[in-house]
Amino acid sequence: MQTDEQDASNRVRWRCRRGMLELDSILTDFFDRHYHVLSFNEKALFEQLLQLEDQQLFQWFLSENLEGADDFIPIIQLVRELHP
Amino acid sequence: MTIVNETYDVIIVGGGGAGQRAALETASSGANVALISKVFPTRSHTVSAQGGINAALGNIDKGDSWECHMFDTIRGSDYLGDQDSIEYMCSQASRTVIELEHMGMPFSRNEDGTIYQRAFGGQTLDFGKGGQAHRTCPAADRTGHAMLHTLFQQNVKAKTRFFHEWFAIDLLKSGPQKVSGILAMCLETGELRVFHAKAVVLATGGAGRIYASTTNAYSCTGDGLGMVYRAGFPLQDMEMWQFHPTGVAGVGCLITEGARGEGGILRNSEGERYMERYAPIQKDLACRDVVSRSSALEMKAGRGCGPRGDYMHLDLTHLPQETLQERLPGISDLARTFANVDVSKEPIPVVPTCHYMMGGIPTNKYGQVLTQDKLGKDTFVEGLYAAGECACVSVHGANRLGANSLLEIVVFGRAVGHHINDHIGDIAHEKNAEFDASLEKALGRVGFWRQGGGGESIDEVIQDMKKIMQEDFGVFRDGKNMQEGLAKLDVVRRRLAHASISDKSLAFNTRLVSAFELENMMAVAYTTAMAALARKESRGAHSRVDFPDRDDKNWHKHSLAFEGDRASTRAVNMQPNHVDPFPLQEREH
Repeated sequence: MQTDEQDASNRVRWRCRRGMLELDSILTDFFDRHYHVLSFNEKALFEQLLQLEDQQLFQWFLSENLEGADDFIPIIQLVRELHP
Repeated sequence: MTIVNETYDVIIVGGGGAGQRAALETASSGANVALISKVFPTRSHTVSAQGGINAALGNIDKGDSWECHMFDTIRGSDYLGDQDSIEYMCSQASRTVIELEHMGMPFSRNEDGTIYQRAFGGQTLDFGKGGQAHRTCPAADRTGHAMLHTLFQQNVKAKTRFFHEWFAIDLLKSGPQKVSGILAMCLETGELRVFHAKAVVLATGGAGRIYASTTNAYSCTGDGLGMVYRAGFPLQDMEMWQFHPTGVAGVGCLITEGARGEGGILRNSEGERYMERYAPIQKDLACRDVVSRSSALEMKAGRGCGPRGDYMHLDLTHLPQETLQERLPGISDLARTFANVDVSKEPIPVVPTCHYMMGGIPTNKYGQVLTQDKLGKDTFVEGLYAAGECACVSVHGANRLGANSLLEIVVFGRAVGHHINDHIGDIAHEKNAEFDASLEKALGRVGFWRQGGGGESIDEVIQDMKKIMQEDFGVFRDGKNMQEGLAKLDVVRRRLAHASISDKSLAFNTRLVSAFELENMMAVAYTTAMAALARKESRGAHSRVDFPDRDDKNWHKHSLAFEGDRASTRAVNMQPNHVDPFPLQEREH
């Protein structure tokens, strides 16, 4: 029997699917390697981040410009630091 | 198992530009429209299209015309494109762009306020004699994103009903050549639902994930093509895949042709601008297939860059800072993240990478899906339409010109909508014994994965399929390798019939979705392999070492591939309605 936590985890992994290969690669790679060790709050923040638009995420992950990122800055920096 | 039934006038499968444009056209005319998308619609792959949309507005080149655009598109297609469809697309281009502008799409501007237009590959003035044309209308380098958001807002206004994070499993037929609905699954709950419709529109995008190296997002798995194939209808020109010359080496991420349009230069390990040798006139802006093959030839000749000589250099270091910042901001970011390169100081390592599927579901210029009767005569499938990359209308023929894809999706998305609006009053909902049998068959597929067990993991099957496609059906093809590749692919295909998934859960069962996607990709891969081996010539993106020349006598025709390994052909349309046909000519570069 699947647990609620597993359901939530599957949902988050699906939402790492984006319209852009670059984001698919960064987000899915981060999810597979690091999501399971995130704190409850970090997981929640990551899931909120996935609600945002691809171009916004593209800017935050691929440029130095974190304008408007505010509360998301810690999780964005974590994803960027851990990107191979 | 109780299955909920819902009824709409129109079901659209796919939330990219083509699907949303078709939805908008039908919903704003009062039809009851549902759009089903496996991801949130604004996360469709259209969002990746950077460079722009072609239309001969003449804002930069006063002498440009849609007829020149038509000529370039036909020539670029290596004469495999249908001339009636290309005529329709090019003649509707300016109107379509202005429509988007009026909807609020934020195009880049000239100083006089008109829409800015940049140069892209394969664009000429005066029917190839007047030099480079500037025909591509961008919204900075985020044109697809701007288009998708514009269309999404308009669809919300038009009351299109969105079912996002729903996966379309199969078409439901109420007759041998009539489609009356689909079976779909809600990802959140695993619920299966039957959607009845007078018209089903497939707009599921491309399928580049069949290759190991691709610029395509993870979602590009050819779902609409798999549905059509299993329904017994053909796929067309599946051997025609465009390899983009400038994917970032080792990653696949695309560096837009706009980078070369703004002055970027491809160089080999000796620093030579090698495209001057292969295409003296158009140079770095020659058609994509020409540039891709030229790069591959340079690497084969030992002039590739890097320690293994397995990539080329795209040099932007000579471009002014303001050009990089204003016209190509995303490219600088991309190169830094995935190649660790500062484009103002170093070249970007690039390789030819699978980018676009020219083939697909055959349609006429109204988007009606075509099949063939037993005598080889074209007939259309009642109630079934396709538009965008999943369709083969065929405006790209054997090779697509840059920035014609965003044009195609909006022109033919709208054309599908027009045709449905004009005919929906004549169509009745149908549910009969054949429909029930079709549903039973689709449910059988779901049961196979949900209940089966003990078989091989789908992961190994996916990897083996991608490897075969990359090695044997990539930029260079020859009969011997393809024959062996097809045999290997047949074995992999048979393994899929005995594979299984361990996850049997209902909610967000992404393994189940992957299994469905793999079945769709396998249909695409196998038809690609069959058609590539069968076409004994080189034309456009299909380049054979053992048949290096174009053979118009025997192969100026579309290939068709059906389930059950049946193959056929269709004539190329050479009868535009308002201008004289463009006769076959050799391509010059």
